[in-house]
Amino acid sequence: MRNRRKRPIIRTHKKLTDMLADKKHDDHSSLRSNTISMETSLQQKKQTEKCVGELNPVLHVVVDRVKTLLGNPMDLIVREFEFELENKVTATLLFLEEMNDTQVLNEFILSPLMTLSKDKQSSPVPVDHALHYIKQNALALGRVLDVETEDELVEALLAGLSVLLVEGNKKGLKLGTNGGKVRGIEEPTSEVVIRGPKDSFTESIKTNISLIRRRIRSKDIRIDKYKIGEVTHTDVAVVYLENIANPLLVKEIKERIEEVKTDGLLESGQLEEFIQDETVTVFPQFLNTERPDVVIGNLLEGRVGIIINGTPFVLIAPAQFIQFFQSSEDYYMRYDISTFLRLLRFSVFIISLIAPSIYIALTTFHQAMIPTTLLFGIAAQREGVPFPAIAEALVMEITFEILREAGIRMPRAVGVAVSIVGALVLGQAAVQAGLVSPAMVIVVGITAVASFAIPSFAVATSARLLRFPLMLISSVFGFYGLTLALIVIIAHLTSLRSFGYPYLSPFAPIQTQDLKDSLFRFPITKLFKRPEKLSKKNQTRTQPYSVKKKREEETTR
Amino acid sequence: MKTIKIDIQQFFILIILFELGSAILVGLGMDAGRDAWIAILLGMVCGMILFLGYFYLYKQFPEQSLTQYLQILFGKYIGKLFGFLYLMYFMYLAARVLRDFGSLLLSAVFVQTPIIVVNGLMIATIVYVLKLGFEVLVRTGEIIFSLVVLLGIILAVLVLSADLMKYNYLLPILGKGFLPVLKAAFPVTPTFPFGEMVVFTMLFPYLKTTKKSKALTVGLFAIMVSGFILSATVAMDIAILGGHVATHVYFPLLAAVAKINLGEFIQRLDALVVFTLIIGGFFKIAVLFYVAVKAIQDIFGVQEEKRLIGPVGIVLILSSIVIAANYVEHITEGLNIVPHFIHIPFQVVLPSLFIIVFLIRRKKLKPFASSPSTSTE
Amino acid sequence: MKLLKSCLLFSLCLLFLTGCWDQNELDELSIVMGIGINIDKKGNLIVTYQVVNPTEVAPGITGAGGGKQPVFTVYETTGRNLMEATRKASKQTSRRLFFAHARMLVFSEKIAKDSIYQAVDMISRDPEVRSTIQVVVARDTSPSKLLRTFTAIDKVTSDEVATILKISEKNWGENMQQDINEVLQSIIDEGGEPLINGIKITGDKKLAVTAQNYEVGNPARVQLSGMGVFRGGKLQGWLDGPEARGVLWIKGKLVSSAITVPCMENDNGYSIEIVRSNTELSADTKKKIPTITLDVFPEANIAEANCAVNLEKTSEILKIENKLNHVIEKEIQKTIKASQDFNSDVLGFGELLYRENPRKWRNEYKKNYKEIFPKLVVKVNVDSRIRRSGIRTSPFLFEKKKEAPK
Repeated sequence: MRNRRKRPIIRTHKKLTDMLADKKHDDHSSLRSNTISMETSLQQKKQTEKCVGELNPVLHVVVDRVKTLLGNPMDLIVREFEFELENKVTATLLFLEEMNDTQVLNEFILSPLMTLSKDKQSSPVPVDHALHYIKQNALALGRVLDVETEDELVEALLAGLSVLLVEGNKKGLKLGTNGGKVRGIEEPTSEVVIRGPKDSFTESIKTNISLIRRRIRSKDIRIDKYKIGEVTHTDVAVVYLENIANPLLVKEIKERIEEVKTDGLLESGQLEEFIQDETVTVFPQFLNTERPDVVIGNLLEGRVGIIINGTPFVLIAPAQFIQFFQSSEDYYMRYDISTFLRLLRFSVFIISLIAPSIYIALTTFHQAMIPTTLLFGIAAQREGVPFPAIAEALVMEITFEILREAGIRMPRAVGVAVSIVGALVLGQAAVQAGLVSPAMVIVVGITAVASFAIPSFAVATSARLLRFPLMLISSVFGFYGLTLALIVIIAHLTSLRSFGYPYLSPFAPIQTQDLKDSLFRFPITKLFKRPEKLSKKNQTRTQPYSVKKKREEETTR
Repeated sequence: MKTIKIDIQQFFILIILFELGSAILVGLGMDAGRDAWIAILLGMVCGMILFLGYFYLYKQFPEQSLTQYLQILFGKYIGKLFGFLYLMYFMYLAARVLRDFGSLLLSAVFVQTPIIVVNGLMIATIVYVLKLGFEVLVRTGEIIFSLVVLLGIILAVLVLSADLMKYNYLLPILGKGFLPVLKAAFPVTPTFPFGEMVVFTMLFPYLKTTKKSKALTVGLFAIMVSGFILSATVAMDIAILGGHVATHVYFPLLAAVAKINLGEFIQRLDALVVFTLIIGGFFKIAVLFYVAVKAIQDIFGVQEEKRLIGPVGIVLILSSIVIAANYVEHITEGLNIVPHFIHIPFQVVLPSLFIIVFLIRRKKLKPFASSPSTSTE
Repeated sequence: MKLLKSCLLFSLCLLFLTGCWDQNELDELSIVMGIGINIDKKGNLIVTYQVVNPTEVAPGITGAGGGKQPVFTVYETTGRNLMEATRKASKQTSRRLFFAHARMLVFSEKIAKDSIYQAVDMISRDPEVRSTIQVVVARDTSPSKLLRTFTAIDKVTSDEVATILKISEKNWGENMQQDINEVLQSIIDEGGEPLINGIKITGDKKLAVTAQNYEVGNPARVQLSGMGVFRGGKLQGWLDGPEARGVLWIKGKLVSSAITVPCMENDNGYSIEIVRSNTELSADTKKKIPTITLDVFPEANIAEANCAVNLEKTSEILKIENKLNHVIEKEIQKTIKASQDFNSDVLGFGELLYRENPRKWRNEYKKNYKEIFPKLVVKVNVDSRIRRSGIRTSPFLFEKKKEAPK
C-alpha cells in the first residue's frame, strides 16, 4: 500500500472506484497503511471534485456515469419515464431501492408527474424551466433540493434520497423520499429504570433528534451537523442549548470533531477515542447514553450532546467521574433514596475495585487484622489449597472474566447453560476439589455482582481492568502497596480533564455548590444552580425561592 | 509555562495535611508524660508566631519564593548560598520523614522487607504524582483530606462508643509542675511539625487570593485546627493507654485504636490507622519533595521542573538510607540534634535574620519587592 | 512506549518478587492462641504455645479428616529468653508461630513469685502480640497443664478463659480483665502494683488433658480463682471472693453482682442484685498520713426475699439499703485491710494521692510510701439505692405471716 503514494495521481472516476474496491480487499491491512490509503483517496477526491463540473444534460450519459461510479449495483433503480409539458419530456428517477419509501415515490412523485398535462398549464413551459415548474407544481413533497454536480448526485443517492433528472437540464432534483426499514423506538436495554421514560434512541439520527426536540421545546436548542468518515460519510450532530452551554466549550468540541479524519465512523465509541483528551487511561471521558431524558438533563446543565448516525448511544461531554454513578432515575425518585443509591453505587465501585486486593492483603500480610473467628474460618478453608492466595485470586478472577465474556457472546439460550457450567460445575467442583477456597469464591462473587451494580458499563470496565494490577501489588506489598496504588489512581483521576473540565470536579477542586448534586442529591428545590464552571452565563436553574416556601408563607398569613 | 494557583481552601487543606502528616502517629511532646497535650498546644502557639514571621516575608515579596527573594535580599551569590542551605534543609527533611516512615512501617508490618524497597515504592508514587504537576498533588490532597476526615470521624465515634477512655489517666494536670512541660515543649514540639511551616515560604507565591490578610487568617486557623487535632489525639492516646504506655510505644495512635472492640465484631481497626499513616506520610514527603525541586529550579535556573523530579527522587531514596546507621541513631538525632542544630537555625534564626536584613535594606529593596516581574523567569 | 515498557518491567518484578519478604500464606502459619511462661530450676524459661487447628474450630468446615484431630496442639520449648524459645519452637512445628491472635498469657505461680517484669517487657515489646492479650496466673497448676486442658464450649482453652474473664467481670465482679497494657500501666503508676487473675483447674485433673474431657458428664474445667497481689513484680498472695470484689468496688469497675444481705434472723434473707455502681475517690493530704475517702453509689434491685417483710413500705426498703451499705462497706474494708497487709497498693491509692497533690506526693509520700500505705486511713461511705424488687411486690412469706395470727 505504501508505494501507492508514489504513483501518479489517478484522475478518472473509474480508477477511484477501483481503488475503493481495492481498499475493501485490503481490510485486514494494518491501521497505518489504512490511513495512508485514506490520504491518497483524499487527494484523489480533491482531484475528482475539480474535474466533475455540472451535470451533463444528456440523460443517459449521466445515468451511465452514475452506474459506473457506483459499480452498477443491483439495488440502483433507474426509472425512465415521460411527462408532458410543452412537449413530452424524458425524465429519469434514480434511487437505491431499499433506502427509499417506494410508496412515497409512487404517490407523490411518479403519479403527479405522469398525470401532468399541457391543458392544465396556463402557459407552455419550456424544457429548461421544467425543473422549476415541477418543483413548484407537481412534486408533493417537503424536501426538494437542486443537485448540480455529479458528486452531489452520488452523495444524495447514497444518503437515501432519490434523484430526478430531466433531459436537457443541467441540474437535477434530489427528493427527500428516504425511508426504508429502521428499528423502531424501543425500551432502553442498557439503562433500565423503574420510574422514568421508557423510550430510547435508535440507530437513526433523525429519530434521535426528534426524540430530543420533542422533549425540549426551546428556541435556544442548536443542532449542528457534521459528516465524518471519508467513506462512510456518517452524520454527526452536536446538540446544545445556546443560552446555557459555555460557547468556548461548544467551539472546542466542534473543532475537535472537524479535525477527525477517518475512513469510517460506526459507533460513538470511535468518535470518543478520536476526540478525547487523554488516551492513556482506563477511565471513560464521555458519558454515553441511550436515554433521551439523560441527554436533556445534561443539556440543561450546560453539557453538549453528540449524536452519531447508526448508533443508539449518544455521547455527552464533558463528563465528570461522579456522573457515572448517577442514574436518570435519581432525579425522578425522592432525594433520600437517590442519595442512598448513589452512595451505594459508589461503594459498590470501590468494592469491585479493591475487594480481591483487600482479601489478598489481609490473608497474606495482615492476618492480625482479621477477627479471630473469621481467621479460623478462612485458615481452615485455605488448608490444603495448593496455590498462594494471589494465584488463587487471579485464576478465579480470570475464570470469571471468561464466563462473563462467554455469557455475552453466547446466544441467549446457551447463556444459561454457560452460567450453570460456570457457577455450579466450575465453582462447586473447584471448591470441593480443594483447588480454591470457598472464601475466595465468595470474594470473587461479591466483586462480580458489585461490578454489575454500577450503572455505567464504562466505569465498571475501568474497575475490571484496574483490579488486576491492584491484586498484584497488594500481594507483594499488602496494604502499603494497595494504599499507594490507590493514591496513584486518585492522582491520575485528578489529572484527567474532559474538554478542560476537571474530571473529579466537584470534589477536586471542591465546588461547594455542585457538591449538592454529586454523591448526594439534595431536594430538587435546593438545586437551583447549574454546575458552576459549565454554565458560566446562565447559572440559575430554579428560583431558590421555591413554590413550597410561597405556599408556607401563604398559610402562615 | 502554566502557572500554578492554589486557592484559599486548598491552602487550608495543604497546611492541615502537612501538619498532621506524620505528626499524628508518632507521640508528640511525650516527654511531658500525661501533659503532652499541653506541650502540643504550647508548640502550636509558637508555631503560629513563626508563621507570622514567614508570612511577613511573603507580604514583602508576594511574587517570589524564599529562594528567589533571598537572592534579592543578599545579592546573587550570598543569596544563592543561603538558598542552597535551605535546599539542603528541605532535602534533609524529606529524607528524614521518608526514613521515619520507612522505619515505622518496617517495625510494624514489613519486618523482613529491605527499607530501600519500602522507601522506593513511596518515592515512585510521589514521582508519578509530581510529574502530573503540583496542582494534581494539591487536588489529590483535597480528596485525601475528605477521606481522612471521614476516617477521623469514624475513629472518634468508635473510640467514644467503645468507652475506652479513662480520664483519670490525664490527671493530675501539670502534676510535675510546668517545667517538664516547658522542657518537652521547647524546643522540640514547635519545630515539629509546626515550625516546618517554613516550607510554605516556597509555596506562598502560588496563592490565588486577592486579600493577603485572608490568607494569613486561614493559615493561622489551619495551624490552630491541626494543633487542636494533634493535641486531642495525644490526649486520647493517653486516656486510652495510660501515660506510660502511650509515651513508650512508637505509634500511640495505632496502639490506642487496636484496643477498640465493639461487640467482638468491630475490632482490629489498625488497618484504618495504617491507611492514614501511609497517606499522611505520602503527602508530607511529597510537599517537601516538591519544595526541594522548586528550590533547585530557583538556584540553578533550571527551566523544566519535570526533569528534576526523577533525579531528586533517587537522591532522596539513597539519602534516606545513609542518613543514619540504625533506627535508634535516627531517633536520637531526631530528638537531640536535629531540633537544636538544624530546625532552630532554619526555622527561627535564619528567617529572623532575613527579616532584620530586610528591615535594614528596606529602602534599597523597595523597587525589587514591589515589582512583580523581577523573577518570573 | 516508554510507559508501556516500564509497566511491563514493573509487573515482571512484581511477579518474581511474589513470595518474598513478609508475605505469609495462611496455611503457612500456626495461630497461637495462648502463651504460657514457666521457669525451670536452672532459671530457663519454659514457654508453652497453644496452637489452634483451624479446620477443627471453624464453623461448618468439614476439612480433610475432620473430626478426628484435636482442636489445638501444644508446643513447649525452653530457652534463656522468650525469643530463643520461640525460635526453638521451629524445631517442632512445620509452620511459623503467629502471635497476633493470642488471647491469653499465663504465668506460672513460680515465675510470678520470682518476677514477672522480664516477661511483661518481652511480651509488650513484641510487635505481633496484641496489647489486648489477657494476663493470668495458673494457680495450683502449671501453664503447660492449663493450656493442655480441653474445654467444652469454646473449644480453645485460651479463648474460653478470655471469655470467662469478660463475662465474670460483668456479672459477678470478683475478677477484672487485665490485659498486658493495664498490667504494665499499673506497674508504672505512682506507687502502684498489678493485680493478676488466677486460674485453676477443677474436677478430674487427669481427665483434663485428654480429649475424653468433652465426653464425660462432669469434666475438668478451668475456673477463675481470685486475683494475685504483686509487690515489686513478685506475687505476694491472693485476694479471694468478696475481697477481690472489693477491688472492683474501689476501682469503680463493678458492673453487676449479687450480694447477700441478712434479714431479721435469716442470714440469707435478701439477695440483692447490683445493677450499676459508681465510685468517687478523694484524698485529704493535709496530714502526714493521708486520709482517703471512698464514696460508693450502687444501684440495686431485690432479686430474692426469703423473709416476711412488707416491701411496699419505704421504711423497709430504707432498712434494706442500710444493711446493704453495711455489707458493702465491710467488703471494701476487708479488701483494703488485705492489700495493706500485703503492703501492695493494688488499689491505685498512690496514683490518687499523686493526682490530688502532686507536689506533696513527690516530696513526701513517694519516698516512704511503703511505710505510709499500710497506715492509710480509708473512710468508706456507701450510699446504695434500691430501685425495684423484681416483678413482685411483697414476698408471699409476708402475706402468710399477715394472715396467720388472725
